[in-house]
Amino acid sequence: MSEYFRNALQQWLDQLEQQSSDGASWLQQWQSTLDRIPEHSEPQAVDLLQQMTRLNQRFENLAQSLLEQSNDGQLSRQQLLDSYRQHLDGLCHDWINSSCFLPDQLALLSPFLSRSPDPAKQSSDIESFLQRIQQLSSLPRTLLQHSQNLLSSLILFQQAQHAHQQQLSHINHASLNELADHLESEGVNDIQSLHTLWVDIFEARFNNALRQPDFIASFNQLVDAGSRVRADWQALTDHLCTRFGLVSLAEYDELSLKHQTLQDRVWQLEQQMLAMQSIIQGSDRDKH
Amino acid sequence: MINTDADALSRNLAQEREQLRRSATPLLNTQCQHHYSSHQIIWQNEGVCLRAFIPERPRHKRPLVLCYALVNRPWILDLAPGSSLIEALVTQGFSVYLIDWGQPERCQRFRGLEHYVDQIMHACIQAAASHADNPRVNLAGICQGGVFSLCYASIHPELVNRLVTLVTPVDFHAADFTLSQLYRGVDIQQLVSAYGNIPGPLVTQVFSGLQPMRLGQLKHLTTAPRLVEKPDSVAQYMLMERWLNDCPDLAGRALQQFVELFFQHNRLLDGKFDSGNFKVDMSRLAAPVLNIYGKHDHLVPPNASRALEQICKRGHYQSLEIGAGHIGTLMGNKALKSVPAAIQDWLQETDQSEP
Repeated sequence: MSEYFRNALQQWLDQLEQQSSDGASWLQQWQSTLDRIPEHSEPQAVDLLQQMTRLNQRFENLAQSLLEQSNDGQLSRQQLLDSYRQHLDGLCHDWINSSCFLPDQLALLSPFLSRSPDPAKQSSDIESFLQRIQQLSSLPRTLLQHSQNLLSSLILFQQAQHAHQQQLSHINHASLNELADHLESEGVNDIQSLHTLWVDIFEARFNNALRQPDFIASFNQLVDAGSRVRADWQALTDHLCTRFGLVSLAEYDELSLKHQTLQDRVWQLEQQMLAMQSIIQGSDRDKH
Repeated sequence: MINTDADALSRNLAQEREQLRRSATPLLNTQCQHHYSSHQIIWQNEGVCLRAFIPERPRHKRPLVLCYALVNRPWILDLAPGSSLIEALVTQGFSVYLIDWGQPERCQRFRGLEHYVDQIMHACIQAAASHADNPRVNLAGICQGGVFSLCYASIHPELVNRLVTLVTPVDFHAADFTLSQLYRGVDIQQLVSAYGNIPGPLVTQVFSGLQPMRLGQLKHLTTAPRLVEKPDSVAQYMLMERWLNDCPDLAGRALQQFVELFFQHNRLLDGKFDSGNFKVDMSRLAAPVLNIYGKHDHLVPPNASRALEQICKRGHYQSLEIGAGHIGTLMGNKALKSVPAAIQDWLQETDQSEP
């Protein structure tokens, strides 16, 4: 980590310490400070702090909202469920979106696509969109085809993402009801034990879901749809490279395959030579 | 209605804020670069190397070769002084050789299992045997490296004296093998074709995704209080975090073969299998096996590991269960007390009977 950054952060922490004790928005301030960290800083400590801060902030938001709704030491079951569900939707959204399924360039576009797309409608929309683009710019047919493939696979990915998020929501829903049952009998007096109880309940249900065919199928569809987007993106990029006279990744891979095949063949021949040498040496020994 | 103690909850929140603030300074000021304990690199080729950890006074003639998985880095076996399986084995007088698979380049995406096991592993084992001036080695495979070691010991039974497997999956269709169940149905050919090599961060997500709330949320919420309570543990904690997030990319072809052979078709239990030029006949496995697994391992559950007994010759199988999880079995306190000693006792049986 750069000395500059460490000093800046230390100064900022010192200032925080001197500030008044209410600290209502200090987590947000901290989060935004961490977000501005230069990229060349050593990433590990910063990443960890960012994650800790982000989760603490999310959790604090949840706890504050529970406290605000708590009336004379009483909180309605529905209020608890609503607050927690909001909190969990944020988490599930983070999980799916933080995955490396999509190329960075496409991940940026992802939020602009519909969350629950209608496949038939979107396909016809893509078709007409691409037709208009072609009319305006006379794009080559092959490029258009690659673009169409990519957009279609992006829609499939959105559908898979939506379906998997629904699976996660089912788990959240069932877990929350179980949590609420516990809390109705035991109350909430301690944040840590509330949280541990929640995690234990959720993980038990999640672990059970991991073995259910529906969950496995939706997860497999999400992974497959993600890799399909990646493959179509690469095909489009390769096509553009070829049109511009550049070496494409596909061509590089083709050469790598030839290299690996040759390398393996050389190794096989070396093994055969070693075996023959050992036979010859053996027969020489027998003669003597 | 749910009873709440608003004052207590407010105090909790204030305490959490304070702990988070106090944890920041030590976290940001702690250096956490990993350094292997004293060793030399005795063989290297195309990013792979063999590290030799030789004791001042070796007490065992035969070299002990450690074969780690392609997933994650092998330095977890030598995390820090006092938290190192390698250090414990060297202290017992073993000459330890560690295969470090390195990071595959894009151009190495077509490396298959035959390349890793038949070629690289074979070269490493020959280099270790030559360095130790002993024709046969004792081999210890960890997780996926255990599968590689079982295959290797079947391909070259003449070179492996004894085999130790640690947290090694054998029955990939065991009922509680969640990782296998979840990924068996993925279109691995398309995945590999799309990525080339599978990115390390994606693999890290695969593992943390098995316990998302515990590993993704609870862990980060409880980190600050833990570090504030035990400031001495910050360096080790950061080192562990570094290791968890330091997964190399996986060579595409090798991963595809591994998933197809083992995750999808469970071929290790079949005895005889092949994939391209990678041909294995498990009935040739002659080395006695010590199988060490974690009782609470959620990645490779005990049932998946214990199935190894089915493919060992009668009387050639022993096992040791450690009351720990996947990583704890390799470097946890309980493991470091019992695993090196068990390996020593077991290997010594044959070493002492040699001329």
